Amino acid sequence: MGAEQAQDSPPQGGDDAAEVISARSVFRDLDKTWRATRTYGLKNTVTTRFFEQLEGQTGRHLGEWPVLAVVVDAAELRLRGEIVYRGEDSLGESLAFRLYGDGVRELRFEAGVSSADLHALLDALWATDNAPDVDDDVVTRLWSKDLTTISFVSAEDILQSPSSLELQEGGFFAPPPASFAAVIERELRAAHGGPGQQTAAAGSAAEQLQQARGGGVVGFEVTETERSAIARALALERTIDERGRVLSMLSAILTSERSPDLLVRAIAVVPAILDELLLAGDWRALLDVVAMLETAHMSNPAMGLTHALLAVRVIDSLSVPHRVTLLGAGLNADPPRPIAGLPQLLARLSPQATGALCGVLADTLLPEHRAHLRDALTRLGAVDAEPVLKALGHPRGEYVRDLIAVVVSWKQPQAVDVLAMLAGHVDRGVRADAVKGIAALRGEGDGSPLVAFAFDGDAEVRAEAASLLAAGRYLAPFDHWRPHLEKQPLDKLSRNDKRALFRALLASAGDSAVPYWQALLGERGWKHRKAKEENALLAVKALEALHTAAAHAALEAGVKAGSGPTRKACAAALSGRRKAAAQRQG
Amino acid sequence: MSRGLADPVFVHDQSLTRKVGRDSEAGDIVDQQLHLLGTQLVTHLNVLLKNARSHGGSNTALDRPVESIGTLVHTLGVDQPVSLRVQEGFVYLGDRHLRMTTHDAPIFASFVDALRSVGAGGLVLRPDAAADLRRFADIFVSILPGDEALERIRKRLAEAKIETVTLEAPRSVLKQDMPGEATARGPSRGLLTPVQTAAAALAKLQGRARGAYARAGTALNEVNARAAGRGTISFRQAKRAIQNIVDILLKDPSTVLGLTTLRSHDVYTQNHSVNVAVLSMALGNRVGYTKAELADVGLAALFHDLGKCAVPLAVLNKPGEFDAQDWEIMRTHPSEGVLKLFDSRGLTRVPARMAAASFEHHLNYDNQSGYPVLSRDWPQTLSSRVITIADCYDAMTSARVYRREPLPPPAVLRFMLGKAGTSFDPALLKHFVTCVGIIPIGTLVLLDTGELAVVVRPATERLLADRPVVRIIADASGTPLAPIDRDLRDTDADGVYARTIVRLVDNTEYRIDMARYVAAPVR
Repeated sequence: MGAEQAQDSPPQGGDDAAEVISARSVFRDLDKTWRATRTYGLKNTVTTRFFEQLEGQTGRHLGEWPVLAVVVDAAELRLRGEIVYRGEDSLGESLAFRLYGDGVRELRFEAGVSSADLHALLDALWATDNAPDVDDDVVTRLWSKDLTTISFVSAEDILQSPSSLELQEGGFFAPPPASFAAVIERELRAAHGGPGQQTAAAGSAAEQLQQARGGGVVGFEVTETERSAIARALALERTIDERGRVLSMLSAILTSERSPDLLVRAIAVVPAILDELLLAGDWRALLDVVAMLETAHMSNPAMGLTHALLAVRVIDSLSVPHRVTLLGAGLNADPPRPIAGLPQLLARLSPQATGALCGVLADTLLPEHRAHLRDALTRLGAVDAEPVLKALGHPRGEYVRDLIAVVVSWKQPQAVDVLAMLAGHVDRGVRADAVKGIAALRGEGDGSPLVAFAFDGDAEVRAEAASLLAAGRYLAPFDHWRPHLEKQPLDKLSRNDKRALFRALLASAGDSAVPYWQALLGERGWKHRKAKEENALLAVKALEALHTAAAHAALEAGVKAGSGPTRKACAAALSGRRKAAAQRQG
Repeated sequence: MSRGLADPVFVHDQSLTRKVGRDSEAGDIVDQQLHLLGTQLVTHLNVLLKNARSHGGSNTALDRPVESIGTLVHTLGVDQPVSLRVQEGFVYLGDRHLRMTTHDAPIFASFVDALRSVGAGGLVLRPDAAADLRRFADIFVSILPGDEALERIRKRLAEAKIETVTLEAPRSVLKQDMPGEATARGPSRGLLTPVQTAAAALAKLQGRARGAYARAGTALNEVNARAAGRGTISFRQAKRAIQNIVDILLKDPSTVLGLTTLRSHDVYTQNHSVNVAVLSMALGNRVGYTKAELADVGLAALFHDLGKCAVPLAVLNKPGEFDAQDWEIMRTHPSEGVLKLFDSRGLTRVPARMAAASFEHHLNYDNQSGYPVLSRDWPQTLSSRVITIADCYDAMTSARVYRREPLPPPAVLRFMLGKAGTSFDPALLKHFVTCVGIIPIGTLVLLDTGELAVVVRPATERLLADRPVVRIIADASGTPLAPIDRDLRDTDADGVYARTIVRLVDNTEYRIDMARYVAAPVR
């Protein structure tokens, strides 16, 4: 560390040696604390420990030597010529440079330095309490702390004044006269009541002097009542909502100023204000600004059509993608901003905002915020659905589920085809919601969008889709099933899954599935024999339930072509049919 | 102008910043800050000297630095010289401390070393310096470092008839009091040593005050130049200057108040704004603002006329009376100032007091007169009321473009007191009178001894309000004297007052500029 390097060189002179060594310890501790503050913040336990060491060491030093004043150089701090701190190679990490770069030439500690004073010093070095801004540096911040025990000399203090104040030349005042005799003579005459001209100014000054001479400085004494009023005004000023006051000025300008050009400029500052308020998540204030803009022309006759159009354009710009993105940033600010005003703000957006708003929804974390965004997209997407539908391809599950909810809320059956495409989405929740959404949008009829979901990797999704298809409300010819059956061998499915699948196939595909089942009946061979038999038996059951001629013919073919159990099952099914037919005839 | 004992020692400052924005390219270079230009200047000077050392002044390696320096000097100074000074390791562009970054540090260090090696404290470049830079560089690097190096260089420059580039000797460090320096163990052992006499302390304080005043004006000019264009405005330099003024004000208000007598016809706005800042802070100090708040009020007051950057120069500088149209334009400047702050700072960083100062300083206390004319009641904040008083006082005591005759301070006070309750807060006005004195600082007075004097410090005792501290400027025969201060409360052994004011003199009638006597250093 910096101060330890300085300790490599022993101090000169015995009497001061102890002081220098002690000072080095102080700045070593200050250096550590300063770095810890920068890295971890003031409240961290590491920082706290270093701070306590600093406080202790500083107290001990000042108890022995009441003043510690060091000269600040670019890379060093020196106490009467002795180095007590030396920065590291990278000047950006040097306490000395931090001070020197901002123009501190001497830093001074005096007995009585408190914990609060040291905190204030660290804050001034790093502006830990407030975000640093362009108006401040170490010098201005340290000055503002108004510490009595820590002071400094700055670059301005050192600069020998060049007496740079210029007197007026060639203006009202004349060059200094060589003699004031004429002035004195004239004024003496006037003072003694002579014929000298008495100017109004001098006359009034004489009265003033007389009044002052009277000793009763009447009228110039501030009464207690007046003092109290001033104190109240000062207290009020200290508590004023500064931003609100400044916005009120803008409002006053818009409602009162007469200059057309100035009004244009006043309107022109509003977009940047909107940006700031969006970023800050201050929805209420933003709505106030919008309202101000909307109503200004009603109270200011100087506002013409141009101004009104400009105002409208500014208000409409709330919906441009850039602003909507800022809204998103404000929503996700940490700590979260109050929700007040957000729904009203979202209600002002136009369909132009839909795409960007989808992006905001994608990045928004809090459920409450997402709910409001969904509501907004429901309204906006009803006019411009494309951005929402496009966004359904996003990989983030929670986001897409929100979008599914939006899409479903539109109650547009055409959206079913879009939801069908979510069968391949990585998130199971999305796929599950897509199935529900399809069912909600299309209660019966073409069930082909559901077919892919019946083969989903997730058991619940499969079961849901199959159940819907088996309910008998949907039609899905076998051509829709074939690609999936070819891709997904039945051998990998459990018996229950196969059963559910065949029920769904039966209910939705009907006769068009018969050739498939018939093929299953004819499968033989030693490889996967049990699975093939199971498939065949399930196929028999399906054919048996399908009371059509094609099914009957398939069963008859199965009596001849299948394995032993298959032939037996087919025969039993046929027998059962004949009995049933006979009973019906009887 | 003949120089005599009574003449002030002010020297026209070679500060570049007054020139920025006045038809200068810097005014058009919207986003370049003076710091950047100053750093570039230092960088190119470094390169110039290094290349001259390595290759000689006529080598093409000097082409680029010569051209760059020429451009920078012209940009920064237009038709005025530009100075770079080195003091205690800091580099100053004019009076402006060039803040160092880690990137700049080696460059600055090299420049500082180069000047130090020959015993120089600064470098001044005229706008036409480019033609002489090569020869200058040759001479500079040819002289070996040593005690008399500076003199040798100067001699060689004179022999070569090079007048566009000059080297300055170092200035001595301005020693000053440090707060709380006397301790049980002895005096301060810091960088700066304590002063030995009250007079010396006062002289130093006055020096500091002049410096701070000048820097405030410089910073004001910079901000106004940027405000005329577009881009972020930083108030840091102004803040530092204002903080310096607050420090001095808290030690001795009269020292700074004396500087408010400065009236400069062609830089009215600059002096006026600084004066308003000083007067506002002095008044604010009386009503109870804290130190940090005083700086805030001062900063707000310094820029209360920021909106005038939007008023056409033809109107601002119009000689003679305004017509109705001119007034209509002029009356927009309070609102323009607010808009300018919005524009350049954004909502969150608009200094609220500054916006209020701009918006409210012409509103008037009674809320019924003044401007801008608003559709609803708008009570001034306390700081705005303070600034309104300061603004009016300084404006009326100044000679301005459209009203060439200023009024003497007592007359202005009387006028303002007549407006207490309408234009001005009556309680604040009373505080203000106490602040500047019933016989205000800057008033020319005739003493019973026949001497002519100017009030430099208001009376502190209520019952002795007519006994301020005055500065004798001429003896009874009218012969100008080197200024000497006298407290009119002083009596002889018999208790008789040594001097008494017999008459307040209207200095404007004789066109005597009181600033020459009030703001000058004194024995």
